[in-house]
Amino acid sequence: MNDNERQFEDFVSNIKFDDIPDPDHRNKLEQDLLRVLTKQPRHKQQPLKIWRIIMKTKMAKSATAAVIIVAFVLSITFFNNSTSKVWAIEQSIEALSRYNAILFEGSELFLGENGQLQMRDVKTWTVANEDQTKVEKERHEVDGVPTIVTNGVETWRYDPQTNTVIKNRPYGTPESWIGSHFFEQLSAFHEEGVINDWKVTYGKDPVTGRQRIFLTVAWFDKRYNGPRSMWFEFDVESKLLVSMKQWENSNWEGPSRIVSEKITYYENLPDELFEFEIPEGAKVIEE
Amino acid sequence: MDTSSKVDDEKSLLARSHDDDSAFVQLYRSHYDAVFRYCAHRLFERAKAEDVTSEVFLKVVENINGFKGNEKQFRCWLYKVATNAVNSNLRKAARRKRLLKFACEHSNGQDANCAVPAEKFALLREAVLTLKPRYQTIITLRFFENLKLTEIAEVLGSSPGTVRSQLTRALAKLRKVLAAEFTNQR
Repeated sequence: MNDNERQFEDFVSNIKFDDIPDPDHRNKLEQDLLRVLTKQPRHKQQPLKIWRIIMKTKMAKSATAAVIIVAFVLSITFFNNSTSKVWAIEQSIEALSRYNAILFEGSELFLGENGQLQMRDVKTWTVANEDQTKVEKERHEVDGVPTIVTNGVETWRYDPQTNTVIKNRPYGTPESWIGSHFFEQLSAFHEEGVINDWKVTYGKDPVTGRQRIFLTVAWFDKRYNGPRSMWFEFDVESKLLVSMKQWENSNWEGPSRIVSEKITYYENLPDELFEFEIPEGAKVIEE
Repeated sequence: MDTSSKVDDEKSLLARSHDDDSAFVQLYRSHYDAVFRYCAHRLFERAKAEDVTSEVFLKVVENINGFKGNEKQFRCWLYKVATNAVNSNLRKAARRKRLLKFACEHSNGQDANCAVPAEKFALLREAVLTLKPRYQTIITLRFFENLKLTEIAEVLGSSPGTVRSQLTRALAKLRKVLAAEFTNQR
C-alpha cells in the first residue's frame, strides 16, 4: 500500500457510516425472497432417473444423438433471436461510462461548391468533460486536414480553402458527448415519450461475424434538435457502440448527415492531439 | 468451524440452493450483511442501500439457477450485481440532483433540500460521488470491503493492472478534492 492509499485509509477510518444492517429489513427481505422462490419453477431430480432408463437402449441413444445435433444446428441458426434476452440499453450505458475518450471515423454530408450535397471523410478525436456530459477537447479532421481543434480553453477553426484560422477563446458550442450520458438521456426521452420511434433488432457484423444489436430512434420534438432519426450499432459482447448514423429528418430518409463507421475507445488521449499548429502562411483572426 | 469445512459447507449450500429454498435462505443470510454494507458505502444512505440490497437479492433469486461458479466466484458475482444496481441508482439520482440543482438556483437556496452538509462524512460523500461510477466501485471495494485487486478485477471484468492504475487515478482525484482534510491529518 502506498502513501496515498494509507492516507485515504486513515481518513475514512475516522468516518462513522450508518452501515449496521437492520435485522427487520433482513427478515422482511428474506420473507419476500421466499415468496418469489415458491412461485419460481425449480430444478427437479426425478426426470434424471427416467432419462437414464430410456437411454439404456441403442436405438434411444442414436435417436438422442440425432436430436442433439439438430438442436445444435438450430441453436446456431437462431442465436440472433436469443441475444434479445441479454441486452438492455443500461448495459451499454454502463460499458460506455468506462471511457473518457473516443475516436469516430466515418464521413459527413456537406454542400459542395457545385451546390450539390456530397460526403467527405472525417475523423474526430474527442475527450469528455469531468462528468461525461459534453465534449471538452476535440480534433476534427476533414480528409486528413484539421478543421476544428479545441483543447478546452482555446478553439481553432481552419478553412483550407482560404487558408484562414479563426481563433476563439472559449469553445463556442460544445457538442454533447456521445457516451453514457447521451444514451441515458435518450433512454429517459424514450421513457417520457419524447421519442416516437425506438426499435431494437439483432444481427451480425458481415465481416467479423460478431453479434450486433441495432437500435433505431427518431423524434420530432424541436426542443431536442428534432426532427432527427438515428441508427446505432452495438457489439453484443462489449456492449459498446461500434457505429452510428444520423439523419436530419425523422424517417431515416436520404443520405445520413453523419456516419461513424468505426468507433474506438480510449481511457484518455494525449494533450498534444488537441493543440493546433498554424499552417504556413495562414491568416489568423482572433475573435 | 475450521476454514476448509466452512468452504465445503458453502459449496454444498451453493449447489443445494438451486433446488432447496432453505439452502438459498442460508446463503442469503451469510451474504446479506456484506451486500448491504457495500451498498451503504456506495450510496451513503441507509434507505437507498436497503432498497438496492433488496433489488440485488431479487436478481440473485431470478438467476441463481444459471450460476455455475464456486463460492469465491459467487461473492464476486454478488458484488457485480450490486455494482450494476448501485450504478443504475446513482444515475437516476444524478438526474434528480440536476433537477434539484436547477430548482435551488431558482429558489435562492431557501429550500431545505438546498442546504449544504458540512460534516466530514458529507465531505467524503461529495468527493466520492464526483468520481466516475467505475472509480467509486474500486474505492469502495478496496477501502470499505477490503477486496484484493485481483478480486476487484474479477468483479469489474478487468485486469488487476488496469484496476491498480484506475485506483491510483481515483485516489489522485480524491486527494485534490479532499486536499485540506489530507493536510490536516499530517
